[in-house]
Amino acid sequence: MKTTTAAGAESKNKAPAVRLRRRQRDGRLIAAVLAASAYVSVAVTLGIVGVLAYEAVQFFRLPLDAAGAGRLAGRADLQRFAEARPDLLGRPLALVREFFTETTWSPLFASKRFGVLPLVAGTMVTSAIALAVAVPLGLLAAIFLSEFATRRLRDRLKPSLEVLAGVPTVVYGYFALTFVTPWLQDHVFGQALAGQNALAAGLVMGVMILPLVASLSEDVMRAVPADLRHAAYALGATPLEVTLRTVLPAALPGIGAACMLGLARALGETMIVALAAGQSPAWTVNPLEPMMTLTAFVVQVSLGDTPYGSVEYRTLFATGALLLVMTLAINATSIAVIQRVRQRYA
Amino acid sequence: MSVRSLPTVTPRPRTVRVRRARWFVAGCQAATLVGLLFLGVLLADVVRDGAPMLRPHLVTHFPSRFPAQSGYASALVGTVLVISLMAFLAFPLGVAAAVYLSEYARPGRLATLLHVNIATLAGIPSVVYGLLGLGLFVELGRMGKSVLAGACTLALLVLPLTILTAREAIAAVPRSVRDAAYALGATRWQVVRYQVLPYAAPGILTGLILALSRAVGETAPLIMLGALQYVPFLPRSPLDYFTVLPIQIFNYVSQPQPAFHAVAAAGIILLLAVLLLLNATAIWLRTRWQVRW
Repeated sequence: MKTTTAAGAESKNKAPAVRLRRRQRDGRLIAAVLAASAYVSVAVTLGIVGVLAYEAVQFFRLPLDAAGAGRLAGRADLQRFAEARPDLLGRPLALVREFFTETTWSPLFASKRFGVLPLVAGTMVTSAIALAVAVPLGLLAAIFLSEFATRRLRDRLKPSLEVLAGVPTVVYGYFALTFVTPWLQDHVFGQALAGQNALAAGLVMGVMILPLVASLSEDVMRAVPADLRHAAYALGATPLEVTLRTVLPAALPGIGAACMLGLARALGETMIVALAAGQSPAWTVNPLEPMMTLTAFVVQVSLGDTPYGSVEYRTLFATGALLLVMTLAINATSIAVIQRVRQRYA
Repeated sequence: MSVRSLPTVTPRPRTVRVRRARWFVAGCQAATLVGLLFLGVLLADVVRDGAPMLRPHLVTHFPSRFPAQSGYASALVGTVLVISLMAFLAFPLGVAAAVYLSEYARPGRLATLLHVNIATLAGIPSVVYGLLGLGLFVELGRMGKSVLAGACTLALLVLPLTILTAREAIAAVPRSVRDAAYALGATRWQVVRYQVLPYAAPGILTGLILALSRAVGETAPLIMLGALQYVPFLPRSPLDYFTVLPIQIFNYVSQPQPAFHAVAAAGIILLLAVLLLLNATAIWLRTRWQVRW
């Protein structure tokens, strides 16, 4: 230890055995502190899952709580819930069924309906458009960077593409709302395109996740051994044939995983859709119309001042929990695939 | 070209295949440029919309009902407060975790669990972190919708990113450096403290700045905690209400009057300038201090 403090100077005068023991004790202490910091991440995971699961259960308990609200006359919002949905009172399973099967979402209105499918549809449509942009463009960019660009060019292009991923999403939202939508209205769709629509939000979101898809795909394509390429070129194949028939098939699982990570990012993206896709939950797949995503709903509720434990507060966590389950499922699959691919060529 | 004589293979004429390959390469090149082109159009549009509003009162005025008098004073101060508090909370924790994972943890089930867990955390949408912050810090921790709650939430949000980048920087320090120190009788901590960390410092710092710039642009989780759209005062303590630059921009974009869009665009220029400064610092640090092995 380089310490020149009093304690450090003192320890130099002790017998070597004492110093050694003290050093070992310090080492164990430091190791314990470092380990504790690493396990904070596990605690965060448990916290996220715990908080969302607990609050989601509170949401599905609404019919039970509201049934008792007549006696607890003081919870005005539970009272309102009971008045709006007398058919649900005392029947939590009916609410579960409505949540997953019905197609009207209006928990903030007087006539409360809790069918979450329109939000899922909005999320799916915007994400699908985003992938339709990001996958082909990202894949072609990845092919260019890994197969054709010189090292120098790649070292310049890759960081410049990654700037796209660093632009704050609220900026993309502004751009989608004030530039892309008016441009599409003027040049392509006319007034058939609503001022807020899933299309512009999805397109811009696609550009946002493009660098993610490109960068991950490039990594897996570069992991394909050069021997395979040399062999194909030696047989007289053109660059196109080498790429499509040799490199792509070998890298396909990894590219799939990259696309799934892009999908997960699109599902969770919030500001672009909150600004550009709209705030009205619609059970439709027409991208020219306004649609609301799970994340946009969370933003909408959060902008109002929701008291703790109210009906709105609980719907917030129900939609959040659904979003978490969807992203976790997709992320887990793609992480597993990427790891297996890495092992194959390592 | 003996392949051509094989009975099962009937390739198209070579010229067609070569021409196709050329088109393909050109297409790939074009696709790569689409993203950059998009970025250019975006920047040009924002500058065109916002440049007329770039006046000193943009940073000295509070939000207002009138676009011409609206500014980002409380948002700028709020951003600085939240981000510095967040850095104070997240960075020591993240670097410590990275040191543990790369220098101390023995490979095995627990280490795998930690790795997978961190990768999973990095993929969780930021709105979900907002909900966590709302449930955990605002309600359970009774922090209220305060600067502190916002900083804690952002700290958890950037923690996985911090750990991942710091771990990469530490892993880039070659084995031989550690072996040499161990050979001289250094303890594990001495190796980490006097050899590994100094060599990894530029990489770690670059990662931290990237995490910082990610947090500066983050909007969604803070809407749940600090979505006060109208904060006509400067936050003074960690328990005050606050607003940040991206939320203020979001608020101006959501206004129906187009005049507010210009204010939003001016705010975006401010935000991008801050981010550019951070990223430039990161690149400068990397090129200046980086050790090549």
